[in-house]
Amino acid sequence: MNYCSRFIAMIILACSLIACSSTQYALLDTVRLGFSSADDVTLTLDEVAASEFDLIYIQPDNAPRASMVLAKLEHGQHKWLSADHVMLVMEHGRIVRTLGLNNDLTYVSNTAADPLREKVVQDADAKWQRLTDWQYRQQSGYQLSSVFSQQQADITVFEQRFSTRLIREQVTVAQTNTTFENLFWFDESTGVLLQSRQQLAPHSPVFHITYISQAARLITANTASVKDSMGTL
Amino acid sequence: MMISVRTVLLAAIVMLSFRLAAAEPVVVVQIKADSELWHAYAEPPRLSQLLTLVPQPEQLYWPAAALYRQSSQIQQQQQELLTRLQRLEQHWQLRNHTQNVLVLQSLRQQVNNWQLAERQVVSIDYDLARIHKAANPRLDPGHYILRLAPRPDEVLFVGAIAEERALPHQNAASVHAYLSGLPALQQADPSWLYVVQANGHIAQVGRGYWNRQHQELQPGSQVFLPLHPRILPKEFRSLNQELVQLVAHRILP
Repeated sequence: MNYCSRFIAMIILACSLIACSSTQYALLDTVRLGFSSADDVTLTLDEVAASEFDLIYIQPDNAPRASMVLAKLEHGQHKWLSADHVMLVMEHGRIVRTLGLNNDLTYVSNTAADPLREKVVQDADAKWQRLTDWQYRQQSGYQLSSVFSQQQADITVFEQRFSTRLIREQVTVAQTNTTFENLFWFDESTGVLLQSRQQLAPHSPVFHITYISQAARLITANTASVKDSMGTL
Repeated sequence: MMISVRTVLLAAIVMLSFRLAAAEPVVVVQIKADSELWHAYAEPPRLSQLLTLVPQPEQLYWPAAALYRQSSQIQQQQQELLTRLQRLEQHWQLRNHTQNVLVLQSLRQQVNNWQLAERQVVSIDYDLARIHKAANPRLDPGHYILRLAPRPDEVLFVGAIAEERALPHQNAASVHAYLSGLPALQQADPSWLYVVQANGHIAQVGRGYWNRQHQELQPGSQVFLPLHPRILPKEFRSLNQELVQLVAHRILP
């Protein structure tokens, strides 16, 4: 009887462990950060570097900065989750689907041809066309066309200066002939995406995103290599 | 100590396998995606459990994903509507009204061809089901069909029309933009139509010059063109409503 109850307890423990590892959403209860937080969320480099899960900062226009956690990386998609259960699905740093906003982006076509995947504008005439569908009033088939250009820009993350390739994307909506601009900052030497400024549609909120875990990894790696080179001196 | 735990473990495994062998599946799910998959569950699963079985979820168009439950009630409704349509057809046959008879024959044939099951009122979304408990219900016992596909490229027009017609989905276009691509709609209600969006949402949309509303169609949607009110004697006034309800439970080919 004693063994039996111990066995049951083991099973329960095992099941709870499986449940935790198979879904990382439980983490959010401990990371008390949200999309709807009242104040800017600020994390230190050490906190981000020590975090078991990847994090991003996201700041919608005129709203406090929040952080999101990488809940899933599957099928080439990064799925970022806020504490209030908003999800942004990204491919190569670009938002391709949202869940929990007041008008969700439900679909983006042709993501395989997105020039952002190359992290560099090789062709001055790089273009990209895709269709977008929306949840609100089932708006379907809005055609977005982009042209890209590239320049050098310096940005600062965690008080660290990065020399970046800034990719500017000029987006035109065919049906309304309205335009907006998306910006993506890639670290010059590694090609790692550090920051972006994205809009899903004209007149929709602008999201300023900082890929803080990526930045923290670059800073930590640099510090380590500097230490290494100092050791050899 | 070690031996005892192992013994208990073995016993548990045997008990478990015995249970599995003896248990009748309470939920059977037929997943209609690129290929067809069948799954049986001894305990009612949650929606997310079904969705994890789907091979390439990132290629699917979630707004058009649908879960249906086999139901004899829906089949019965279909039979009743077929009988009612036949009675209405006879009504106009007696009055020698060929146009009305023809549209009713077409409608009866359409309804007869529909594959129907009870569409479940829940958003089917791989990610949503894993974030929100409300979007991840436990399935009641029964036989289910889960229909998943990449973004469809057509919309379907049914109802008071010579025959069911699929038209290519038009980007950012209101439902009215499609109507010129259809044969004459003299037997259809000139004031209203119904949109059954791919996500199951039904909307009555004004189509007269006086009440026209902008309503776009999700790819994979159906548009039900109701019968003209002059075709519907008093006891058939609710027929359009009953038909559109059935359209919403249709499993598209």
